[in-house]
Amino acid sequence: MKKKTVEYGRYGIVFLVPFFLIFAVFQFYPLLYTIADSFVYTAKNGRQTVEAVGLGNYTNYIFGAAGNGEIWQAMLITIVMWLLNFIPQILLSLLLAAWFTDGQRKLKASGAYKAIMYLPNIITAATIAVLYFNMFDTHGPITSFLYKMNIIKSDGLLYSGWFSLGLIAFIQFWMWYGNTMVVLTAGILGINPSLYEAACVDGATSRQQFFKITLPLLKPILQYTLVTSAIGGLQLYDIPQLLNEGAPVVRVGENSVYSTRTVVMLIKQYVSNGSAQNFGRASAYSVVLFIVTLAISMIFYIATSEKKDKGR
Amino acid sequence: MKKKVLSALLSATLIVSMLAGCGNNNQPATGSSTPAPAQQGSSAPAVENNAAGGANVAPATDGWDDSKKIYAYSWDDDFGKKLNVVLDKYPQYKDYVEYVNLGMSGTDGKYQDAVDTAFTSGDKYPSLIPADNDVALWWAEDDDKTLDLASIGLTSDLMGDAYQFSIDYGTCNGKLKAVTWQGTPGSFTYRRDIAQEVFGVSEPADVQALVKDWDTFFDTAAKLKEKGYYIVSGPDDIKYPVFDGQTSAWVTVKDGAEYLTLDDSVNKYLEYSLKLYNEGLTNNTTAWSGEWFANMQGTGKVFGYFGTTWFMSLIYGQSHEGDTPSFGQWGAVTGPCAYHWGGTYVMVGKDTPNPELCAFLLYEMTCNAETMYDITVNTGDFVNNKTANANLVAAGDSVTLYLDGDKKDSITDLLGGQNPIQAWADAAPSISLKNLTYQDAKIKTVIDKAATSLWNGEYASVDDAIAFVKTEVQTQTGLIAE
Repeated sequence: MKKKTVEYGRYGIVFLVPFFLIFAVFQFYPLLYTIADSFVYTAKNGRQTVEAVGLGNYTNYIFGAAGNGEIWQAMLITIVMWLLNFIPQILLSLLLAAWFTDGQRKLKASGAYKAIMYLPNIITAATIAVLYFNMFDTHGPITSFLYKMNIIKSDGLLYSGWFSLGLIAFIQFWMWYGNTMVVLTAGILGINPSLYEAACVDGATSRQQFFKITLPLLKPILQYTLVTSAIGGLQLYDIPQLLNEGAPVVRVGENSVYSTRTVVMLIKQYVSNGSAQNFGRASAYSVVLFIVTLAISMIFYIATSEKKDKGR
Repeated sequence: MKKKVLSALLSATLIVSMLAGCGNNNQPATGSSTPAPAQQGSSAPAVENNAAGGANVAPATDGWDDSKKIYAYSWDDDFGKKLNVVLDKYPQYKDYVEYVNLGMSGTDGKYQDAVDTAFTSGDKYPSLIPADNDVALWWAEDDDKTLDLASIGLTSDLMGDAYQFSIDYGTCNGKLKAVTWQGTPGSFTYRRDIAQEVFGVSEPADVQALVKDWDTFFDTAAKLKEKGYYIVSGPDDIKYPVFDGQTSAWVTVKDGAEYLTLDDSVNKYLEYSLKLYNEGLTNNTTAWSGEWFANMQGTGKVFGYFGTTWFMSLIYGQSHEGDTPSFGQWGAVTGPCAYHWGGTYVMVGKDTPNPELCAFLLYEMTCNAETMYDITVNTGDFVNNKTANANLVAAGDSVTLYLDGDKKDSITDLLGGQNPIQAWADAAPSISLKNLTYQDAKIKTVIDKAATSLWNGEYASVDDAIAFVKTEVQTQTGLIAE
């Protein structure tokens, strides 16, 4: 190729350098460091000990008896929490987005509704966790109300593990459905209106338009929402930590299960100072989380994009 | 395809960036000095003991320059308040002591990291290092960091007035490494007005009879419930007194391996708290929650709190709230059992530039009955000095204890004129710290979780809950549960 014009492309690379530099120093290096750390035993136990153990952290804590399967327990809880939040969230967001963009319905003050629905997302998660904790605490307004109406028989609502799990999933749902709705609305508005006009002329109902036009063309956006939500959901930490610190412990058969302990909370447990501090173990758990997150994202990514290719 | 690879790469980047973390956050020391004009030699009380080189001799400041300056570290301002009592007495040293308030939690590992960093780097070498008794052994057991106090003249013969538990705790491998100015005996702080209404008595001696042991405690709780009151705010309020009745350490070393050996106090705590919960004897709050604090106010229905010396300031803070303040309506008794809660020990950095001054300040703060009397009066603390406490008890109602040196907030008035030293002095000799281990804090958090689930009926029995504690502690800490 002969140069006839100024090659602007390479200036782009110059602009990319700062990002990759920062990425390398603050993200890529720590990642490699975490992986390296997962092969080392670094327990504090009163005094710092550092000892290379090879795959010891994996064989002992992840697949061995010493870890008591806690990482898998936490992983399952995290995934359940995410599913409980994501399924209703995507359905409601989709419905609202369809309503708000419907040319025939023309909802009044839809901007105001959108703003109100988006609001919970603006408040920091910590504030929301404290807010909900106070509402559902033993003498919180909601607990007191339900208790006095004889709907619940104990005022220790947050002592119940499955209730706490459901509550956290609900908080996540409530915080994020507005955000998802805005993203989906933007996606729907990006669809060529002439398709809808043509459908109208052909006599398609709203329902048909939604399932035959909106949904198929929205797939890339749905794919994006699914993948980012899965990544965020697997790394959930702030709300369960502040609400109940992973407790209450519930019994499932013979096992005791931390009903709201997510993987990141488990990792934090071994990173934070204290007698259980063990960087190697925390790093090994981080690596597991990384692999699972990557795998789930890839599965979603591949599953949804292949279908799209067939459609074209 | 290229695009696909690129976007896959980008999303991988995204995940990676979310994973990054796990740094070491050594907080830089935020200096807060104690600025005070030097009043050279204005009032240096004569020191009677003349043992040469002893810590009880006030060192002369002749020829001292900046290199003799020492830094006192702490996580909050509490140690500084006590230090100021000594420095007010000896103002000539004010220029040579700088207080570094790190402003963090004392039992948090961040404090350990911050002080450890200051040892090796920076120009403010930590000469005086206070530490909570949960973490003090970290430095006390380390001869590379702290020095043997006997080597700077703070010998055990000067400690004659100290309670035995403080000497036991501060002695590591036969060397005295840490001393304390305070004893933290617990008491049961009750509401006089509620006692008067339900039992017709309000004086400490009569109320002590109502809570003299756990059986009586539960009888009293039942009577309070009939009148719509709760004996304590939440089922976990009894944690500290019950755990302190511990008879053996929770971690024992056999053949180089560490075993988890829970004693009967854990059973007792779970049993008693379950009883409190099931019979509705408490207001069902969690310690340190907003509701828990609010129950200290005049409108609160809670009869009492288990709290130690420093607990008074918490009650003080709430006692003025509401239409009918609870101020002046409190009283302190020993309660069902003697216990302790917290306690700060002070160590001296090995390479301190001014060991004479460190030794003298610690002598004044932890051995001198006169100065320690002043500490109690000015800060409301219970001091680790039998003579000072005997004098305080003897002074009876004529002495007024204050929370702060400015003498505005009176503990004596909070307690309706009672001098609480007697209640604390009764409990102090029974304190034992011999069973403390470095894993206790972790084990206690697991017990907390087990207790919540036990109350909620997840566990059919106390034994089931304990079985969970054992497996979970073993999983988290590697201690071998038997």
